[in-house]
Amino acid sequence: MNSAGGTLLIPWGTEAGCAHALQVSGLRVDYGPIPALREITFEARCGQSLALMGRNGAGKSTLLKALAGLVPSSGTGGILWRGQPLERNRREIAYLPQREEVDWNFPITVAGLVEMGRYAHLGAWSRFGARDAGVVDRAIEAMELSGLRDRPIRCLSGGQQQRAFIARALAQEAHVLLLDEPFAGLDREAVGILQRLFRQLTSEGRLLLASHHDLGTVCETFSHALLLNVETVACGTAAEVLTDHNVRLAFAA
Amino acid sequence: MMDIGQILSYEHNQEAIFAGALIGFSNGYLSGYIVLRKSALMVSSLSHSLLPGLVVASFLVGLSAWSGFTGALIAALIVGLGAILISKRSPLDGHSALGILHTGAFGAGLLLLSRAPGNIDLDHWLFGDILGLADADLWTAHGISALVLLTLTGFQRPLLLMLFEPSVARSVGIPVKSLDHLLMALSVLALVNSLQAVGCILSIGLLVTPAAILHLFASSPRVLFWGGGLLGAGASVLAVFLSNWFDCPTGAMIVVLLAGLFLVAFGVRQVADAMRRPTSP
Repeated sequence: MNSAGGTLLIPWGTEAGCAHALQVSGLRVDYGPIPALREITFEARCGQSLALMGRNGAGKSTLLKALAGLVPSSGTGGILWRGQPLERNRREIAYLPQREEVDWNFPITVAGLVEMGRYAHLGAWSRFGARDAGVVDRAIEAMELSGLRDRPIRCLSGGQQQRAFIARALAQEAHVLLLDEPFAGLDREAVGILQRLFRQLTSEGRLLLASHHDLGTVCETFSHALLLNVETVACGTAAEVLTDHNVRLAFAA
Repeated sequence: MMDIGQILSYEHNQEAIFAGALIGFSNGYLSGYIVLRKSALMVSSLSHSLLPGLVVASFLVGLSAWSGFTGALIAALIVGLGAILISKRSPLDGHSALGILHTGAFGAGLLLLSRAPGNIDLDHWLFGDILGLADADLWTAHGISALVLLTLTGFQRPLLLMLFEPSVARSVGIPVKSLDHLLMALSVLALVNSLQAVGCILSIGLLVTPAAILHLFASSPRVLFWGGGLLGAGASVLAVFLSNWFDCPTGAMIVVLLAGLFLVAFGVRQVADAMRRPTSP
């Protein structure tokens, strides 16, 4: 497995072999009178992992939520996924909330959580069949959680919890994963495992977008980076973007 | 003291056992959703708003099964929808709005009651009278229980997604607001349904405690739903026997049984946690 961006794509949809793009142009989000995001324009392709960087309040979480359809965008900007408005392909996008936003006391096991990923395909009434069970099993295996299938989610470590949610996104057969601070609060070992799984997911042709606050680990974890300060400061490969000049611009108050 | 055979030989006991099992099961099943939605207090508020509906119904047409149900239902809907309207059109949150409206409604019910000509006997509506069920009550119990159970099982997947993570549910296109209102509407129906069994004051016991007991141990929401149903039904049936033996009100017996079981379960869980702690890393 390697993380060569865009070269090892699994054929997906109709345009087999060619990288699918997420195109954001002129995206604007307002919270009341306060602009949270202005004129955000960038493009990301499958096989990439994109770090969203910036100080608190720069709009990292808001951008993820806008992509997930959780906050409405204002103005004329738009989000295209595979050349179509994002709303048409909701279930190809999975949003993973910050850990503190999850109710860890909810009575559910790892397997139960991952099965929920199938609901987007099954709707309210279709039978949960053998194919669904297979997808769930593979997702649990891919996230190395096979031994923890029947463990309640409140009894998992931070890294395992993060992987359980990624497994659910895989069960949803999502092509784009939006992760809010996936590395927050993880110990060094858990970070290492998650970085390896990130590379595996992108090498399979998925697109990962994650808010991230640790400048020191961006280049080893992500192929690309987007620096935000309400507006786009810089976007490109992680090494290109993270120059001293750009970082100063993005983190200036 | 009568033995079980004697108790079962009375027709009104048979009906009470059947109705208790039915109402206990459907309300116990719903209790899983109410516990996971963390809306026990909200449903409790709504339960108090049933009173003015009962009083107005008795003023207008006299209290019968149908007028009581209808009055209670309308009162709860006015209070519930009113709270939603106020929270939408003002800076107040829904809980505060509900706090104002349900106490106001309950107080208005008490005032009206004090002006009632003659004596209105509301006791069995307030505290339940499962032994005095009429045929009409049974049919409402059938209908409402079936509606609640079918709706909850039919929409179980989207409801689960909504209960666990409303934001993610919305991102995959689930109408979270509508489902939330559906759950509230079913709770109101269940409250009205439990009037005969436990009465409006105690109804929240049957709509929270069954699933709360299981929430201490379970790691699957379905255990809360089905297990809550079985516990609700079991406690209701057992309460019919106990209240026959000890000659005491059945509604109170149902909620006391459930609350007692909860305390025992809580104790067991504390002991289990304490025993596990020293060995875990």
